[in-house]
Amino acid sequence: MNIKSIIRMVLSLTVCMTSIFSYVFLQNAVTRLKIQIPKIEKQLLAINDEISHLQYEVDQFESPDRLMDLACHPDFSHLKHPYLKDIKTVPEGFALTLKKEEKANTKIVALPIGKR
Amino acid sequence: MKTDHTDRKRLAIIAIFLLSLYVLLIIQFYRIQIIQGTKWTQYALAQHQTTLKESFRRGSFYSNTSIKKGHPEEDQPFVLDIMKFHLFIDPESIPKKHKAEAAKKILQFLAIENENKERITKEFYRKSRSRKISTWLEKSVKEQIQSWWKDYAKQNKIPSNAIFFQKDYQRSYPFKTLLGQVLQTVQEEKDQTTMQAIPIGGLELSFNKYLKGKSGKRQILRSPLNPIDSGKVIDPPVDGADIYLTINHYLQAIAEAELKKGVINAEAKGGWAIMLDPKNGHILALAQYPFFNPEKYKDYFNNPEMTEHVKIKSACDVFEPGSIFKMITASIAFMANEELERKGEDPLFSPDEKMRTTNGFFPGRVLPLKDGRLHKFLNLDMAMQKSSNIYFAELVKRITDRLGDNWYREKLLQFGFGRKANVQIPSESFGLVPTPGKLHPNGKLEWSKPTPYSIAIGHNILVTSLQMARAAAAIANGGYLIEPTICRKIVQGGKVLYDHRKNKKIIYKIMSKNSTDRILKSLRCVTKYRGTSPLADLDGYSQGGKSGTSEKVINGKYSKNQNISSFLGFAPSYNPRFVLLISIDEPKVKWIKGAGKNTLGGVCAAPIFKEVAQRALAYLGVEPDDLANETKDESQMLINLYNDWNQ
Repeated sequence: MNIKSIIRMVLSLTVCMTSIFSYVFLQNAVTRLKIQIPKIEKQLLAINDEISHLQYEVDQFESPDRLMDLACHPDFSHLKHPYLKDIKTVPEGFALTLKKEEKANTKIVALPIGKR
Repeated sequence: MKTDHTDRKRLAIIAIFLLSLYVLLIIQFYRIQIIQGTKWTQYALAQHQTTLKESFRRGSFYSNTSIKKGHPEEDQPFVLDIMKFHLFIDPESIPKKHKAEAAKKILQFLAIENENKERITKEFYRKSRSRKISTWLEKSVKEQIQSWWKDYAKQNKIPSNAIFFQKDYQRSYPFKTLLGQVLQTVQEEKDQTTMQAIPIGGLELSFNKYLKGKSGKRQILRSPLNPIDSGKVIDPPVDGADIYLTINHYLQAIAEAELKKGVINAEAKGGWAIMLDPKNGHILALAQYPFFNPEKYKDYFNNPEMTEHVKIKSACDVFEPGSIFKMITASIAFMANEELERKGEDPLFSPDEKMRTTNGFFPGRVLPLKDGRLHKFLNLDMAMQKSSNIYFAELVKRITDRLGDNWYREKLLQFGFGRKANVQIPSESFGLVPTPGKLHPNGKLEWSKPTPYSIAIGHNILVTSLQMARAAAAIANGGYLIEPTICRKIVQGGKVLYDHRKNKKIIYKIMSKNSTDRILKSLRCVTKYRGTSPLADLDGYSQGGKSGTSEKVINGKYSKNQNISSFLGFAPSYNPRFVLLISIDEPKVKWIKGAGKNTLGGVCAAPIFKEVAQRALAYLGVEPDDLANETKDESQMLINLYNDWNQ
């Protein structure tokens, strides 16, 4: 066996071993992620439950009764429900295509309290 | 040499014997591992693992936020399942010397009443592996107990699983009593086998098959060190479907708030209101006072006086509608005109006809019919405005004389009386339209000679508020008998299971638009000066309606002091956005200065109609259509004509 063949063999073995190792590393990374899935799933469920709970508390705070009481408060008495003719609806993506002039002429109506 | 040979032979035998044993062992391994592998795996898993049920979320009810045109349609729940925790202990795992201290500490966290303290302490001394100590705990309380227990159990070498929590979803109401009677609730304890909630009534009961979810399965390793909420979900739970109602939370809140105010002002026993969209049959609000608090449902069933307030009276209770029924009588008279016109005969009446209304004697009646005051001549507008009994009885006399009792009864049925409106509300009543020839339980005929004249003014007929609102909607929408509904759609996991818009409906055209427009005109006069219900006159908007007062039947007799007073109207009158019926149960008999008798529908129910309608129209963004009070001029002309005829 000459030196050339030995070098070729060593190179081939190195490439082969590197590929195998990188494959194994990749598999390990995938396995690590797979192990994390149930944990993340559990966290996600807990977050969803937390969101529901917070939503429930927000709804309690923003109950129609409370909003109606607030509407009677002098600080908010200037807020009125808009008439249907005063409400402009902008189709999705339309606002982005507006030219400067059109933007200046477009009236944006703020929603009154309690309208979400 | 011989010895060597014998030794070799013995060695061979031993080797063969050992080899045979080894082969047997291999065979046994094969049998256990391969042939009986599944069986032994199951045994092993059963010993080391256990399967627990994974709780699911019951479907929710959502408000109709699509009603506000031009506003984002967002999910607004009336009720939803919130995760809570049940606290369990394993008394066998807690050493006797630590029981008292552990019980005392837990009681501090739970902050419960004295009478329950003793019961809970006793649970620590029971011979059991699992005792439920407390239910529906908040997450914060659970975390407090867990953090204390972790250190305490470690310090005293108690298995950490001696105290554990089970998660569960509790029915929660962000708006408390809002829509209480309609939604109702579920029992506190679930079915332990299926983990399904048990509804007590209302929409929870009628939509139960959709709201139900399916429990999942979770596998955990059996170990005192393994927390009960660990493990792997092998079968995920399926949440129940969500019901999107036609009721809007804001309109419902307006109706409930104003109804409560009105009932208290009238010193009445209670009241209810129904708001219906005449174009599509959507029930927009269904209020009732006294309210029902779903979170305290047991109080209502433990007290017979409160049990009455659980049912949805608008759909389940029947009553004699009284004068609000006169709009139906007028409608049937117009239908008779249309029928006679088809036959090529003279019309039954003209709404502008000068009709004599001095004679209250009608065939079969022992006592004559009377009006509030004597009117010599009236036309339809005046009769509606003054709520004349004689005028409407006369109209029905003409109908039955020319078309017969059966034709008249058939038209009553066409308006939906005497049958369920088929809204998804349990225990909905049929009502009662008398049948000729049929006997009452007391032996008297349901339909006798004077019956049509009584029905003309809303007596001798039993209706639900829902049926009445539906019939009025047919007048408001140009003559179409719509199918009322409370459900817009049902959605489960993003998939639409039911959509009311796509559902096949049969809508009957029962009257012509010309007839309904003319009836609407006459109903507009009622809320104007000299009408029976000026207290229902809206600021800036046109409206139409009719008040009614009926006597309740108590122990088989009409009661003079116990009434149901109602106002049935719509607004704006030229293009009604909704039909609204307000009914007040047993208003106090008293005189209101400047208004009249408190028991009259025009006095106690009409102001509630005004407040609800005014606020609801503003919320819906409906522009005022009567700022110049043009309907007042219409009314003034009528007054002048009345004065001419009745001088």
